[in-house]
Amino acid sequence: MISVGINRLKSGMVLAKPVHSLHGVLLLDKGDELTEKNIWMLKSWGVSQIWLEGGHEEKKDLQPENKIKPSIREELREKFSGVLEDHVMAEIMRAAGEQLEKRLLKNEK
Amino acid sequence: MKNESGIPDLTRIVGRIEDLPTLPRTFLRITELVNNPRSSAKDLAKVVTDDQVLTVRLLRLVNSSFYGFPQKISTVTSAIVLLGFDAMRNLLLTTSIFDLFSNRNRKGRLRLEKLWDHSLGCAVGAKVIGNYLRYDKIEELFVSGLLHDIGKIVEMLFLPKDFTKVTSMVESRDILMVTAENYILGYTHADIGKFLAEKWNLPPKLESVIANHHQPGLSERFLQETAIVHLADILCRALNMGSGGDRKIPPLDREAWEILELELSTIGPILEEMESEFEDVRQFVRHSP
Ligand SMILES: [Fe+2]
Ligand SMILES: [Fe+2]
Repeated sequence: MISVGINRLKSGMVLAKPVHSLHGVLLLDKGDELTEKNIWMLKSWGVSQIWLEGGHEEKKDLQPENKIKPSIREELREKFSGVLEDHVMAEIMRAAGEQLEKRLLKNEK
Repeated sequence: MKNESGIPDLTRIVGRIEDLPTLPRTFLRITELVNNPRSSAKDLAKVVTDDQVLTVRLLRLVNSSFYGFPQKISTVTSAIVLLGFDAMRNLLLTTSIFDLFSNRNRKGRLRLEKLWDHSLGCAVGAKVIGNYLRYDKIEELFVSGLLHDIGKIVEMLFLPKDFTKVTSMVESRDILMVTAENYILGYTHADIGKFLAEKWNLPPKLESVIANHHQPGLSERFLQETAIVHLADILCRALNMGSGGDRKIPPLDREAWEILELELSTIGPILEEMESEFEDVRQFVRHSP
């Protein structure tokens, strides 16, 4: 799943997550295919970024943090909730976990 | 509210922040000199040495680990020669802006400090990513990162009522500040930042990065620079460097990621480099006279 700016949308693209207006109104649902008309509609509602299907999902070693302190892991999970379907973001979370763990050990010394 | 073209009506905001600070005279004089192809390092040095605080800062910066020049640099002229004119102007811009917006109100001091730390983290991130991409004006990236959320600082200091509404929504719903701003105000800190950049006549590249760092796809020019800051914003949040005023991480814009052409395996080393540079740079900025 990838996050794409409104100006790059093309008809035929498929939504990976429902799209709501800022006021919470459901505009389009997961699985809906974009058309010229509903792209225009999204723009007029002020939607700026949406999630699309696609982006090669590499699942390998993205469940990293077993050796990382549970407190760090929890915090990261919470912060990254909602964006982890993008494998780049998953890698950022994994690598950040490593750094945060190192920082913690360093500060303990 | 946004008009038809999607550009927020800034006149309403403008009216309320007319007492925004202006950049110091020295900055304007130096910008003039930098833009004039006939000026020499000597001309520039003359303006700098007129300002004692600036002189001290400049010498501290060139001798800091940020640049890592092997020998000690003791004159303003050699510092300018080593740094280059643009870097010189950027240094001045940075320190002037820190001055303008520092510690004005006691209550918000902690929040302001966290926001600066976030900005500094983003600046360090932009610098490190730039190095990976062999971008040749690292200096500019650093300043872009430092100023990317300047709109948040303006909002906090000059539109305190709006800012309070926004932050309470951010807290109660655990959403990004930019989302709450859109919802409550109809414009965002990126719009405010763009306005400020125009008012201050900042370089177009800087203005573009400030305006589009949340939606790099909207930039018509300077897409690479905007993408770098967009990613750096995400990375410094991942490393808990300061606070951007919210707890969530913004999604990575696909186009921004693709334009950078970074390998996934570079993320780890980039974060490591950021971690090792952040404290150094922070010490330097914090303890500037
Ligand atoms: Fe921002
Ligand atoms: Fe930011």
